[in-house]
Amino acid sequence: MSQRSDSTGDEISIDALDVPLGSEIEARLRAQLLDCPDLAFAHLTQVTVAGQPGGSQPSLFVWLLPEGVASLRSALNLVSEAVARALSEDTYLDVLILNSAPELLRPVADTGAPFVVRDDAEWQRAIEAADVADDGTEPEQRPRFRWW
Amino acid sequence: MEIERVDEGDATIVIVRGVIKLGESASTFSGFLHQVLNEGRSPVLVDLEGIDHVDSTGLGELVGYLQRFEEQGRRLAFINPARRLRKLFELTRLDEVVPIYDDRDEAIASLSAS
Repeated sequence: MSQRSDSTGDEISIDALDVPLGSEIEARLRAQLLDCPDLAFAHLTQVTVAGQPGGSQPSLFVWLLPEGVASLRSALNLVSEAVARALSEDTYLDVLILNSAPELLRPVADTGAPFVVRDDAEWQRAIEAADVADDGTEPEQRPRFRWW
Repeated sequence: MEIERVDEGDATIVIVRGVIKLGESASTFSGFLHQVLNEGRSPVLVDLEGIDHVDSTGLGELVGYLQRFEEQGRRLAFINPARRLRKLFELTRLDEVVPIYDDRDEAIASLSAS
């Protein structure tokens, strides 16, 4: 479990899923995500905001390849399509981009093995870079992600 | 998903309820943002009070339109996100590119003054 406190003192934790989505759904989701061309890897976790009703939800952290970051809208649409095909109508999964907050990669990775790895070299590169960057620098002092 | 539009002074408030998913709801949401972008009114506030989940299509649409608003020197902000949603935006640092306010009046005052 990884716990973080933000500037307002709210505690956020990133953990392995308490209740799995189910082997059939997870197999379907994995297969669909493996077909997303701009996806490098993804982690299926549970993000909890302390003290919030319904504050604990399954969340899919995705790391996009550089070409996916360059066309973020289209890359996210493909991920959304993959999730929608795998999940039932009434099941929701928060999809969160890891590229914009690489400092989250280590805590996310510590919850367990990646759910999907499409590009092993990118996975290795990203995790090594995250560990090197984890030098105590405050996130707000790190370079901003170029959303576009 | 339901979308409602309210004009307040120079500001346009787009109130979204439900989940912005791939397909019809994303097209409707995108159409709303396209319309308010072309009308030239500013600021535009997207009220997220009725949104519980971050679907990546909704996120993609928002990011796509953030870029267009910025290119035109227009102001777009999020208001009233549920605490969990706000934390997720902060966690992934989306709040660095779009201002987020807990209150509509505070957002209008702040964005109109800047």
